Amino acid sequence: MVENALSGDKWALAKLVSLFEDSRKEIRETRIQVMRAIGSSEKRGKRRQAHLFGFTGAPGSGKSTLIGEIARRLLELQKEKRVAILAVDPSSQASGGSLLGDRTRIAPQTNNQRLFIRSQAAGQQPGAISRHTFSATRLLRHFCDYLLIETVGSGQSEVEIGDFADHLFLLLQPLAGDQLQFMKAGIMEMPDLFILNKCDNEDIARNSLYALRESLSFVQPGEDRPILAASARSGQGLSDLTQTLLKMALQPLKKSQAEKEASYLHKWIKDQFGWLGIEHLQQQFQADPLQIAGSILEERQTNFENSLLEKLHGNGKT
Amino acid sequence: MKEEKRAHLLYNEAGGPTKDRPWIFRTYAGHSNAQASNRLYRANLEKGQTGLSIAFDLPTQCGYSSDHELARPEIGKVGVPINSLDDFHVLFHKIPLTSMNTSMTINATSMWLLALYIALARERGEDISLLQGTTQNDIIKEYLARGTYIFPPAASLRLVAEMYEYCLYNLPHWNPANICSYHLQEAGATPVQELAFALATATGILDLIRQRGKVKAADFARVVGRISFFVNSGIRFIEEVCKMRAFVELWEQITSERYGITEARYRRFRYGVQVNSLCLTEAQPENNVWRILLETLGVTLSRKARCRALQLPAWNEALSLPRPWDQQWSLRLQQILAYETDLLEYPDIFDGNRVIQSKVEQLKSEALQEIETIDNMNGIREAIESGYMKSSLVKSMSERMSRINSAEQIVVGMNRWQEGISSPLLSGSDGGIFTADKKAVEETLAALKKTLQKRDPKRAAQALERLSEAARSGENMVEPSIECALSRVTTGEWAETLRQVFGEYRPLTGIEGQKLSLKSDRLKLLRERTEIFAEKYGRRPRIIVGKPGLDGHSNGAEMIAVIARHTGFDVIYSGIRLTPTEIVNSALEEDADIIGISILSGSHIELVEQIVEKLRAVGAEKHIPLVVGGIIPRSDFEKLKENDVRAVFTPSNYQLVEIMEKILTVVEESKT
Repeated sequence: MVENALSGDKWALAKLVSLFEDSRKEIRETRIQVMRAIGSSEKRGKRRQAHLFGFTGAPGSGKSTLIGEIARRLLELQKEKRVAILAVDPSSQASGGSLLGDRTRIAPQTNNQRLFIRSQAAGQQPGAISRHTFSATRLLRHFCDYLLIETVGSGQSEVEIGDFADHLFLLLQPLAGDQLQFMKAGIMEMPDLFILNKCDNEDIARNSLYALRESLSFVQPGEDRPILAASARSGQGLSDLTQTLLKMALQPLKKSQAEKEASYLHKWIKDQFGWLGIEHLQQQFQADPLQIAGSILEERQTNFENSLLEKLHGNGKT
Repeated sequence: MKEEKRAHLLYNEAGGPTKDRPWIFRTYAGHSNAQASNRLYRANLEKGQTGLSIAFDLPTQCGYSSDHELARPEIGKVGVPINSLDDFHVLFHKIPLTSMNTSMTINATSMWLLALYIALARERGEDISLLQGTTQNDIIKEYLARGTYIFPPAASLRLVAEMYEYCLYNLPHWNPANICSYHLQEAGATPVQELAFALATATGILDLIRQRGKVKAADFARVVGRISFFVNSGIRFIEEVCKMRAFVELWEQITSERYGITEARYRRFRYGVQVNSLCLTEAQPENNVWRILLETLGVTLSRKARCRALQLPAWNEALSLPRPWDQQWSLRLQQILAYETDLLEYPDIFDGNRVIQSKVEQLKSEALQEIETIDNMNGIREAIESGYMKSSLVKSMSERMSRINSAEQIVVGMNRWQEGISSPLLSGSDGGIFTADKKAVEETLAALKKTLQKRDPKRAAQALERLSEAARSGENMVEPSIECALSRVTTGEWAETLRQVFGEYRPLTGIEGQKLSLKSDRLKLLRERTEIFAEKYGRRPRIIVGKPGLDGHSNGAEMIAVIARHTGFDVIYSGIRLTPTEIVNSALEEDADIIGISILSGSHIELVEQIVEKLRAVGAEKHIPLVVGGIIPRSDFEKLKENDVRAVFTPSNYQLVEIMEKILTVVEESKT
């Protein structure tokens, strides 16, 4: 299946993504096998390691349409590259279900072989990005050159996606007052680039641009975060944005994949085992998840669990 | 029919009450191809119909020629296919244009069809200034309920405005548009929503025309006078009478206050109507005849608010497209009401009635509030683009579905009194439904090919270039469209040229954040089942919900999307106008557990075959089961099952939780 997915079979890739979203414990072993297969395949042939670009912003800020346009341009400019898009939407707390409607706005009526679009429900956990978003990206990054992730900006999610996206873009709309909301959540410091979308109306756009610069200089005096005015509808700013993405993709990563996995493992240990787990991590592994035996994340998870259980049994005996 | 002769005088010189003239009897008709439709129209006219109401097929409505990939399964199903002026010659064979009143239910491509009509008159040597009729041209409700839009709202509004400007000076008896509230009610709108959205649309268009300044100030009153409406009449006919009176009074107020119109004849609320089909049932369909009759009362009883033209659906609307006999039966109702009763002999029987008056006042004040809300949003265009109007309608529809599901709202034969003797009307050899003629499709395609072969390619290319220029420069596009028609440009070419300039529109679905207020033990159990599934398979069941083909009536699909989420599914709602390739591609990329498609246009067999073929091509047909919903005659169920469809849902399956139970069962079964 891995081979098929690598050669472009979308259904095979989709099934692999599902494996990495699967919440059952038994599937962990399968994931390890998949990662090993990917590893050996990459040793033999071409290696793809996508840059992760996170797009976030309030609902209605036009993320889907913008991402669709960017994807289209990337594919046109670079004919051998592949783009994958992961669109995350919230789950209903009441029913657990979700309405994932982004894909039609992202790529209406195109069936490009080099474009893979996947919708994901955030799940009922607090925070709009669930664990399996990171998990899915771990897989997808081997199958594309550019991985664009879209999430709803609930305030908390930006922090999480900022953890594993290589670059983060925050979309704002003119006159929406979003910046206040994000300032309160402490989000304004994070993005690499602010995109002021829907700038079809020049006057309104100009005013919003000034307001945004003001807020930014207030939050981070001295720092000069770039702001880009764009309109997905008219095309304004989009080629600049595409070029920016391409440049960013050439830069070295701020956080290596290993560091991202370490971050993830840290959170996972805390979620699963609470302070007991964190204590054990400190005592046994110098608080560094990368010290846990294993080269694949799931191996480390299994080894950590075993190590913790051993300690607990050991304590029980005395 | 001149305004002045309209019998609004209550008493004649002798002091006796004047008899009102009957409204125009229309039947919305058209199917298969131009020849067949022409025969149908001539037959209906002989039976006593007094005006034509043309139904076009979906490709024509959406701007595709019959030979386009999306068009193929839809040719001639819901109406007549028109590809070029040659088809129009056939359609109106032996039907005089200047003495006929022709209503064309066409929206995004209105300008094209009017251009064809004018070109036809010119080639026949008839005087175009005598042409009477209507192009529906109400783009607003297309975005909200019907789904046959093409271009974004701004471009669409421009097309409407240009038609008003052209017709004012060239076709003085033509109604360039009908502002429609009909479809809004079909999509679940309440009377207040119908009033507000329709009137807000009308003022939106008039404001735009005034703003554009292409009409001389002295002539603006005539433009206002040319605004006409197409409304709905529901089963709650007392309320409907009040709604129509509210329309009349509000329009009177708006035209005089907002536009300063002084002449009474330009302030009249002119409207045509088709009565409500949403409440017509599939179960015990013979009951629909009574429903149609009662709905007719709402728009005929009150003289001052009486319709100008009336279209009635057929009793079997929920089963399939009607046959000529079904339409004849509905026509007879109109004739009996107009000629056998004394309805037309009296002045208005509700004037001075306290009960009616207070209800009218209530509707008026609520509608005005809603109109103000839209005004504060910067008008109708913003109200559409922001998704506000669509969400309001989806909400009303959800509430209606919830009430029917919980039996709070009674529908006879459906959620009460379901037991009964089966209907003899359905036992005829055709099962009581219409079947499209396959040969007709071939004839249409052959005619199209012939047109393309015979035409002067240079002239056609030049005409399209001219059209494109006008579109880009802001020039009125009617004359360039007429030239296109005369040079045998096709429908698809006309629309594609404008798509290149204006772009194609993809609106918000309106279902984000919608809820159904369904609480029942059954729902609780179903949610638990879904949880168990999630635990067993490591993720929630994933369903693709979408509409293949050109049918844009999305309410059913929207309701399924909302209930599926409500039940705990992850729903990938893909919207309308999808090709089978897109649907299958989505299912694969999303690793879906099931595909649910909705089709109301009658092209379900072809579309299912196409989808299954693509699933089989990748070996997915066993893993991703297919279920279908829509207007599907029982006689087609077998054929669908042969194509591996696991369940079929029609309007008789209105119990949403039951539908989801079945869907979950299909998913579970496919896993074993």
